[in-house]
Amino acid sequence: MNKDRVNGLVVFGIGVLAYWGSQGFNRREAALSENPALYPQLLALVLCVFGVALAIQGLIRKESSKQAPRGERTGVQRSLYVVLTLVGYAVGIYLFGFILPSLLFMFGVPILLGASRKTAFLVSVPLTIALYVTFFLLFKVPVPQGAIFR
Amino acid sequence: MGFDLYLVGIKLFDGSVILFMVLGVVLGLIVGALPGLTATMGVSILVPLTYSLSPTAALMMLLGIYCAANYAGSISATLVNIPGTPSAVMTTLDAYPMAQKGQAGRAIGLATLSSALGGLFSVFTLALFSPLIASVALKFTSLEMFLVALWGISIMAYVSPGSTLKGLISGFLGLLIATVGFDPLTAAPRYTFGSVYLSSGVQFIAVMIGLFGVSEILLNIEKNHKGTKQELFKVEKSFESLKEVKGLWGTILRSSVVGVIIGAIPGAGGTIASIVAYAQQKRLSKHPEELGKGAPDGIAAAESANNACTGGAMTTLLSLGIPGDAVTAILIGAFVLHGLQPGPFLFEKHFDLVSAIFIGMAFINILFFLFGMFGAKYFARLLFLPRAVLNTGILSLCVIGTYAVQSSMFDVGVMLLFGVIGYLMSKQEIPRAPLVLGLILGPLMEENFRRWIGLAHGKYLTVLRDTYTKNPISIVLTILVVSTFLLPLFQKQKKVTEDASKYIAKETRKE
Repeated sequence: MNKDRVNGLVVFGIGVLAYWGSQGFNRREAALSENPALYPQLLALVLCVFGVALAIQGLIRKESSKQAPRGERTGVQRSLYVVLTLVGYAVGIYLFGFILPSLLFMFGVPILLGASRKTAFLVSVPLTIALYVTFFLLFKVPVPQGAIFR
Repeated sequence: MGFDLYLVGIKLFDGSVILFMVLGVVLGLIVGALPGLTATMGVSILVPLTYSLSPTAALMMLLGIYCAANYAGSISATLVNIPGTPSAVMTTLDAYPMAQKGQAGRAIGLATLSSALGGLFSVFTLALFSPLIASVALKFTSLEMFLVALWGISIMAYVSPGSTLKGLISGFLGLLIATVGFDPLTAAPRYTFGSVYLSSGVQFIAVMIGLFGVSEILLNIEKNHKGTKQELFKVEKSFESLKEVKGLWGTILRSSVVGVIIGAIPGAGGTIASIVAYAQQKRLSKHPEELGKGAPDGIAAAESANNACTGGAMTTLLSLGIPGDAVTAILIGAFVLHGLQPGPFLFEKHFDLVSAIFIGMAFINILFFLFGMFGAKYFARLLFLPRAVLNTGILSLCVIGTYAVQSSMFDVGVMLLFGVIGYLMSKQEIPRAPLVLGLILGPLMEENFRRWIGLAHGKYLTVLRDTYTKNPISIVLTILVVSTFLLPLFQKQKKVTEDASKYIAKETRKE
């Protein structure tokens, strides 16, 4: 199946789900303009139509699905690892605050992206300090303090 | 209003505003000079930093990034044949060959001067036209406001590279996401799934950082772009190129007009403007065969047009509340973060801020001209930065910046989710900018749509007929919306945007 057919079906599915989800909204039948479901339902219907149109476009064009080349697959894997590391980083700063997880993140991710351990070690401390100074001291924006230290 | 509109903003420029304006220009030059980082990404990840600043300082910093990044794409285009930002693609065609001939300084000088002049011209048109458009927009009825917003989304979908249908899907997904949270009229919860975090809606800054910050870095990581190892050309005698401006006035002025007009079309942006201006220059030039081989008028056309876009995009943003490109869509987020709503009422309620924007943008163009003429060679050194380190720093900035807006880890989760969504959208060739525009314009569209339904009291056809017979603006807006929806059916290919995307794809492969 080509990309557009799948995408069309996904969009159609989102439209159906959005329409179905809006049926439970608290309605005031007195006036149409006060119905909180009216506008999302219209959008959901439009998305369903667009989804079907995209799927039909995909059927007409009949593009064959290609296997991604090996280099691209490795790139996708690398991006996936970075996303997982980001999730870990977010959990880390929530629990332990900004400094410790940031030091680990600034050391680990460059290595994951192909930098040498020496480079990663040399940049992790200055990068963490630079971000802390920029946010907390220069722009007076709060950085996470860590749930376990509160 | 009168002439006050051009002077009253001066009083808002204290030391801190000037400092953050300069900082914005420097950050913009850094973002623009580095291939893979765009003005859209730079502005989106740095919006949270402005949280604690005054609205004027915040906007000056972000506008500094926007305008300077648009120019700085020409630095790497000249020195390593890689456009720093997509809008510098056409600059590459003449600036790099000129640098190969040992005239890198001349190419940088021409690009800097043309960018600054294009930018200044656009500020002039912004200051001239935005108050006029705003005064007309103040008289818009709810139906007309709804149509303006719908036209904004449809034209952005049409102009975005690739399929218009995918652009529309992206825009309508944005509109749907904007309905999450309490209904503004009845306070009924919609798509909140009982979560208190979703009751005030999806935090659009988190969405923007995810869509334009994280996803862009993920795409960079996938390509495994490592900094350049290429030796840079020596940048010398850039000031000598100032003498050449005499022969380039016509080109700069013509291309600036193209840039302003294209900038005002939602979604069109600097890349398309520079392509159109370059094509126009090739048609009008006395020596068209020289374009592409290091011709000064090629550089002047491309650079003045892409920087003139900034004023065009800001014109529709300030006067109608409709952004002209992805960066100005993100700027709406910055306005809202500081309790401001761009649009015609901004001229009534925050007269001095609008004036400060005009003055500030003029200064920003002068500032990047000075930084560019004196420091382009230093900004070019950034090309040697290891990409792994740079990408890591930006990702950390995305996480901390999103958290900083509301001290909410939930927002960080939303940002990461939209980072992945943005990455998948790019892989499926679905443009991301219409989604952000839909998210931003969603509340405005819904409010005006429901207000119009409420005022019609069930007599929709009668009210529609009355509106169309009494008000020509409604007819014009309806024709614009309908034609934008129908245009793709009658056109086999979106020539300009297709050319742009093909060229960018070719350049990316070269990297």
